[in-house]
Amino acid sequence: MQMDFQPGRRPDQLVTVLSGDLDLYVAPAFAQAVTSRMDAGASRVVIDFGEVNYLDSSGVGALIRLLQKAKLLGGELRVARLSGTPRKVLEMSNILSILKTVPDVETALQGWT
Amino acid sequence: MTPFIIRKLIVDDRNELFEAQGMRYQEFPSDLGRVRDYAAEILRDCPDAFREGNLLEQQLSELLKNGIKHGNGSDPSRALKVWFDLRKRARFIVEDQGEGFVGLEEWNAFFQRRQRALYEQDFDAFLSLASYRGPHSDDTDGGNSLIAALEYWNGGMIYNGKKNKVGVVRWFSA
Repeated sequence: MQMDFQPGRRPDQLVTVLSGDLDLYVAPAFAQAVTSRMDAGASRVVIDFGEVNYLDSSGVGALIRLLQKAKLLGGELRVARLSGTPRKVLEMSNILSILKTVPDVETALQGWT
Repeated sequence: MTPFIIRKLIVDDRNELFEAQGMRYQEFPSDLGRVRDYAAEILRDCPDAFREGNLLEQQLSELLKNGIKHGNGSDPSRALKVWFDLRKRARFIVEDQGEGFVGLEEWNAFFQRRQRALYEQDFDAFLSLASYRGPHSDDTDGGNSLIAALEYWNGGMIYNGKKNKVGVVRWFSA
């Protein structure tokens, strides 16, 4: 899996673009990489799921940790371009209902400015 | 108001899901790094209609991961036994060599609390309960694989009496 971090429009915003498979082999590193940036001040995080093909329970767990972290910091997590199997897995885990999903990164950032 | 319906993990040693006659069989060493390879191998000649993208592979991988990691302690000398049948529907039996899922009843109680919070729209409580943390959970355990599994295996998901063997089936609409 590839992770690309981009700045948002303000210092408290972070855009994380993922591609590939978010599975048990990479999920802990993904959660750690985003969490450390949240600790450094990025409490509003957009994760672009458009190029994620595969999501397993470890990946879902990583997202839950980030949701919990955002709540702790008074921030927010938004997921952009979620579709296909990853969306279905989040739905089956009942996490989709508490996740803020947006059509694209731009929409997520617009909502925060 | 919609009724509050809760699924649960069930133990039933004599359930028909453990009837392995006619099923194919394969054993795997408990190598956590190869879980997805094993799933791909089992599903090599699976009908495309059963795959639903990679959903079947993902759900099978969760069963294999649980057996290898939590059952066999990722000990390569301990075999993971898998029976499978991909005619008409996807059906699997996965057996590990461990002591069994001793926290099964605790998990059912956790799941009931979690779903109750969701039903009552208590999202703060739900978020704190979103992932199950057992005594041996670590960062690679999402704590939600069984939640999705209960939803996915629409023909049943049953544990044997020792709780080291699970039988599952998923039916697909025509």
